[in-house]
Amino acid sequence: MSGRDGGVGRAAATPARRTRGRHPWVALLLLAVPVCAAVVGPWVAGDTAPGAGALPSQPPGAGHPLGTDVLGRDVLALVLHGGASVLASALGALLIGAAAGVPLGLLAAGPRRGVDEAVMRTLDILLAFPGLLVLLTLAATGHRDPYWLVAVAGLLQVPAVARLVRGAALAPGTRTAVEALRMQGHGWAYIHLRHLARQLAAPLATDLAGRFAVVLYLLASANFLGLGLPDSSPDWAVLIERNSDALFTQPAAVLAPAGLLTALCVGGNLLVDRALRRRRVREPAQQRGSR
Amino acid sequence: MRGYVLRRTLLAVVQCLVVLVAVFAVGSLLPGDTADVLRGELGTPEQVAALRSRLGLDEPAWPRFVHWLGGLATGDLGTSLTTGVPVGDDLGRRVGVTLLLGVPALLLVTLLAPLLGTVCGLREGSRADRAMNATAVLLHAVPEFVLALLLVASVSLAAGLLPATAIGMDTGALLAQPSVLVLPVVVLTARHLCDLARQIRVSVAAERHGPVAEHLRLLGLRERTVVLRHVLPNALGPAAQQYARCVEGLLGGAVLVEAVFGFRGLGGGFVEAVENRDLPEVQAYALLFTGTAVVVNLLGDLVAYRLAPRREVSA
Repeated sequence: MSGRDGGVGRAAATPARRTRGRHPWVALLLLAVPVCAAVVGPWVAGDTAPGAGALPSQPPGAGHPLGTDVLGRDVLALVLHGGASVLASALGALLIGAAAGVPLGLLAAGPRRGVDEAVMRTLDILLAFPGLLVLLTLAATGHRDPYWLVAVAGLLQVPAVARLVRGAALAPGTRTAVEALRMQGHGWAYIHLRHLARQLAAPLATDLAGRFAVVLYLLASANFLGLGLPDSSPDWAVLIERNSDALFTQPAAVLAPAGLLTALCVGGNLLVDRALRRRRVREPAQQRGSR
Repeated sequence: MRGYVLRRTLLAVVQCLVVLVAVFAVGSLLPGDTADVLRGELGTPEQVAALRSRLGLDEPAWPRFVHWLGGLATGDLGTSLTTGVPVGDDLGRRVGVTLLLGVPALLLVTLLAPLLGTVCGLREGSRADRAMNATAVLLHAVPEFVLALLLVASVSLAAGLLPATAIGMDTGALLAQPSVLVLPVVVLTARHLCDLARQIRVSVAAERHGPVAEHLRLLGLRERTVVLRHVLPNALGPAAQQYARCVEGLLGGAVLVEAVFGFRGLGGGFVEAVENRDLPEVQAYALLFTGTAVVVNLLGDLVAYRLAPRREVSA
């Protein structure tokens, strides 16, 4: 027995965990740069997105710190304007996924077995469809508006979110507490909005943070393929696609948006990894304590 | 086991049926059909109507669906509206290119992921493990098209080492010049290799210190036996499902990678069909891709269940 406990202790206290656990600011910095560019950028760079005016695909020089793109627009101003749509569409899709997924998960976790089966089996059907291909098929039938893209990217997340919420709400401890509350005469609203909401907040937040990277990735890929935003949009993914032909003559027009997009993805992933690891370390401890 | 297999197979069949109906419904029931698109704004209403009846689009949706299903059952996928070539021929020409990219990537993932995952999991916290983990986080997070463009910029354009595009090359030309395949295969491999290796690493690290492994050690079994016979199979159970997702991801990734490198494979064909709004082709591609995803997921779940039956499959 002592050998086993020693093993667990050793695994939990490896140097990697300790050193990386201490420095979240690498992830925060990676995340902060693109987020600042997206949020503050439009104010700094002026109200309207820049129009064509200069020679196309000029390397960085006077007047244009990052050069110009294939349409002769200033890359710096474009990049500062392009983050807003990236962030907004990913957050919007996430919101849709959560708004539909959480009630469905709670519904499935409710007292009726038949409802549970019906909801979860229906969602199972959606689970296997590759997101990008669904978006491509939609685009082929004329649903090319960004709204469609965001809505469908959000709906594709519903099965996973609902599954997580159902699992958390059905966890042994949670279930017992809910039954006790119901027997004490507390109403539906009290149980769901005060008790369950608090129980579900932590796992849901971690899952949504991880899902943000998934959605971001999906939407950027779709925009790169030209399925959503118009060609002239300053969106980072669209900029990368438009300027990839001029990669050799004007690399900054591709590398600047690509760098920001990558920083956003990597920073987000690192933070989520940290949160997941902390949960994983904390949860076994709780389980052991409760036994 | 049998009940589970039956349930999962039934679900997969329903999924395939849903795909069939959805693909047809999305393509036919919504306003603005193919005749409008083909004629564009130049066509008179009479021309559009004539084209519509020639394509059989003026019939009600239900008989058309039955007709489409009948064609599908006999292997007839219809003809492309833009080129007039049978869709089946087009798919056949393109499938070789996609296999040339997908099979090497899949082989690399299959071979390297368990190896890297086990080595790192057994040496959790070592310098090699940390380096590999940091690389994995980075590669996992970079979108495929960004990674592809960065590689093209650095390896092809700056260093001049490998060709940057495969525009206009068919299967034979690609086989004659395999260096074209290196960068796309690397891009396709990177993300999924990282994904799988990380998952196996975590499971191996956890299983290695689990009570069963400790017990086997106390019984006097050699470390190698404990790892190979107990730790690895238990770690590969959940990885089998991830592996299925990876096959599915290779399909999605192929769309992007083929777009960046200009391959005329299935992914490129899908994008082209979407741009031309060529519905028979789009239907065939969507069916092929989602059908593959459904089947591969089914296999992944069954393998996972076989490897670790207690773990009710939860993905």
